[in-house]
Amino acid sequence: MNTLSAAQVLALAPDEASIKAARGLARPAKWLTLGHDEQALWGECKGSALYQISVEPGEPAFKCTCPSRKLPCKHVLALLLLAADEPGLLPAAPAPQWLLEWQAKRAQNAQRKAARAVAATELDPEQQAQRAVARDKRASARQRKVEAGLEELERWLRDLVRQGLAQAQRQPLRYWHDMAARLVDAQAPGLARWLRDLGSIPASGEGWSGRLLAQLGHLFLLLEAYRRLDTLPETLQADIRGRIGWTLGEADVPDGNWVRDRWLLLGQYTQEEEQIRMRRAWLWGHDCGRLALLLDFAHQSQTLTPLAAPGSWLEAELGFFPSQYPLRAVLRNACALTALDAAPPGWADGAALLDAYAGALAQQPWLGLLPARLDNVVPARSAANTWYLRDSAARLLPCHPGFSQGWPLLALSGGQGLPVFGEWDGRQFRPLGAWVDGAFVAL
Amino acid sequence: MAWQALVSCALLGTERQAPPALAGDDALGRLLGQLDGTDREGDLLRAAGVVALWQRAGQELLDDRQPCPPASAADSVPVCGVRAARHLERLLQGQNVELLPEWLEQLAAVGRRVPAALLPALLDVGARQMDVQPLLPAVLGERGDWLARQREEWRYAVRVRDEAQWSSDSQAERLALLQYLRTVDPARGRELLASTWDTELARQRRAFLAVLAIGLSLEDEPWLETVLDERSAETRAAAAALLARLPDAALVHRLRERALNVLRGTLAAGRLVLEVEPPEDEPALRRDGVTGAALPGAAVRLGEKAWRLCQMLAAVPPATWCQHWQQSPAAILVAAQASEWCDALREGWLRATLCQGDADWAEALLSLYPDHASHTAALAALLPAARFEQLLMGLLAEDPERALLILGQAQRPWSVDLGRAVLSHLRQRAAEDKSLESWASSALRGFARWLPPQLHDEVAAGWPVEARHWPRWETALNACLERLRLRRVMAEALRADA
Repeated sequence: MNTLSAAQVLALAPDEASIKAARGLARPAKWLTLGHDEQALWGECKGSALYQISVEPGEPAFKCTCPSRKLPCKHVLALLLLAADEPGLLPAAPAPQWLLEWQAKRAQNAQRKAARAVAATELDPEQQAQRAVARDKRASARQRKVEAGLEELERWLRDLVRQGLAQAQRQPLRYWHDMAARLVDAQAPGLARWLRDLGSIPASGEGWSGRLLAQLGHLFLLLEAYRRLDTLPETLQADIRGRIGWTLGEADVPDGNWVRDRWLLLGQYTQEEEQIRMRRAWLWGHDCGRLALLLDFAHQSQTLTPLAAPGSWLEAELGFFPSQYPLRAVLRNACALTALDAAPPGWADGAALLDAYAGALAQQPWLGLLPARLDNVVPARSAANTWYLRDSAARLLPCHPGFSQGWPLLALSGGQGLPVFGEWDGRQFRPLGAWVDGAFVAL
Repeated sequence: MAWQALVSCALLGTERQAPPALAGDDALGRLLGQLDGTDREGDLLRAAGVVALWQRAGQELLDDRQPCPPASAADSVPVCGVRAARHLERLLQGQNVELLPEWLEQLAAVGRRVPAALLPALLDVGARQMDVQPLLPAVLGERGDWLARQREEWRYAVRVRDEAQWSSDSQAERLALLQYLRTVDPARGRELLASTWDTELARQRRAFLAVLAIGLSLEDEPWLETVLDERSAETRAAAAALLARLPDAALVHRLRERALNVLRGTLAAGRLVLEVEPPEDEPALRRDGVTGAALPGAAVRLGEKAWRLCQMLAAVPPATWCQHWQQSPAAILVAAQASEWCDALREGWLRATLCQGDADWAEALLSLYPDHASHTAALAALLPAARFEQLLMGLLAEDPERALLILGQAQRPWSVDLGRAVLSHLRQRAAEDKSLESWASSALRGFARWLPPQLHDEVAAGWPVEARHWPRWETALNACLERLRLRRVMAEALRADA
């Protein structure tokens, strides 16, 4: 039976409440029937009514007859948890009629979709030209919107420094968030997120003015660069658009940028803001040796595309978006692999990481995060309860204040140096995983 | 310097101050020199962007001035398997956390230790849950011991190595040392405590005295007698309570002499009649812990006089009365029911029974009064297994309500026979279509903790599913079965590791 691990199941959950509810349902007394075959798991769960749950863990795809709008709902999660924790409870059995019907419907849908895709490539030249015109029209409409938004942002920035940062510190959070909202309207979500982050700096304690000014300057240079976009190399243009928040899709990956490889999923981090959930997942290619970032967004009511758990290996094609320092990519045709005994090479110490970071900035000045493995660091804690990674040269890399796994990481290390993977944002490191006796452990 | 000038200007605002001129001879200076001063806001922001990026690319890390703390010693004991680790993770997340002690015992029995990643959560739970603490040394391993040293809240779990730890600044670590010494060399533990006694704070003194209950013997008496002369009433009471556990202590002899005058029994028509003259307040009695202050953890409300009576009885071995009057504990308890001091007498005897670990009295107290609130479990624990089972089987036949009340509170595993007897009684109740009282519903769930897990299938079968009140029973039974199944699954996963 093809099942997901408990960690993978929990990673699918749309929110904490679903996890809690699913744990309550993940016991045999709640289920009238349970079963599995080669492809699917199923069960009938006793809720307010009797719900029928069908899951194909491979994809994963799922269906439940309950009225919940959450995807996956608690019943699906509970069924997967049961299968992960106590596989013996789901006997091999012939699939019930309702499961077969669901599978038939899915097969039909897939066929229809494939037929549509074929139809698109078989369009005659005239139709294709029409579609291209429509696409260009949409792009230029967006461009105008973004340009207007950027102009407004520049005026706002100029006002801000004319009146002084001390004045800005007295502004309520709304001051920043209103500008962010206007940037969302202008279809520049990347800048909107940036603005919201800026809003937290004035209250961040000592040195806030320096930190704020550095960000404002950084942002201003991006606006200047956008104005002269045509004079810049194409890959840098893509980076600038990406920072502003141009949505990128598979179609934006040039044909030559697809890399087929065996990829190790190194760690993921999900954050939620303004009802949008964003997941960063980092991968490392076994043969190509490249690090890649999969970025996914979902509105609160939606579910993020399910992804295997950190530490899993995938055979897949990754398409890298054009960039001066290519990291961001899309994934296609992925299938699970049994674990390989390999790990990305790392930096010997913090100084080497900083050198690499400087090199990356020289290519892509607006680079947000640099993924990195540090070969030999020990977690350490300051008297003020902040975590650091101490490298082999006794230098300290400060950990991100949002890093909550300091104690487990310390427990895993036992005070010995260990390899740690994470994200360096120029000031702080966010550990996402570590290797203990050669085995990857997600944090 | 250039950066500071930019920040100062930005704080004030460009309408009050022009941005500083930052042209220079190096690459950065030449770049900044291109700003021509015609656009104040733009110049400030451009210069800030450039200098900040230049700084970001050139930053350095801080040196760690502390020496690296010593690393953990290597573990020779292997960690438990993946499935068992998942169970532990779920217990630590608060699901069925009351099953944690049993899981930890079984982990120790199969010779495995807790995986490193779960140690922080386990040490957190242990800091709150006293019943977990004694089980930790066997399962933490070297890694867990090392980790416990890294955080004050976890010091309670530090393995004891040597007496130097007595001078630790962690109270938890010192308590752990004293606990350890009292187990292996009680006299040494007492000497160590006495050596620093004068410098300990009152709060710490009480915590240390509580530990002296471990390995307590007459050897401790002379020192405890000196503590009876201390100023703090609470410290004195703690020392008196310790001495009261020693049947041959002078304090017990003193109070027994007094008690025999306070409580007199006469036989009238073959029945015992009790006469009480509660003790008055006096310094000698106060010194021995008879103060009239309410005792903690009592379910009864008593007046000052009654408390003195109760405290005095609590220090007298209850067997004294049986010998003195030639009566059984049950007969004495029944006789007390006629006395106006009934509550004080019962509370005093309850305390004395717990203090001396008197099984005869425990049995009598349980069968006459099944509900002693928080003390029921302690009374039940005093009975040897066979005697406990015999008592409960008897009660199940005569007075099942009492049996269920006791079983709902006792904290000890049941034999297969007792489990079957309880189940057949419950099935019968359900079949008589008695409604399920709410206490019984939660008791049924609680039983799952003490029933032998191999009875799971038997527990599930044979219920009168047609009964009118069955749905309420069913809910409670399902909760019970689920827990029982979880215990079985957890035990299986651990056995697979062995």
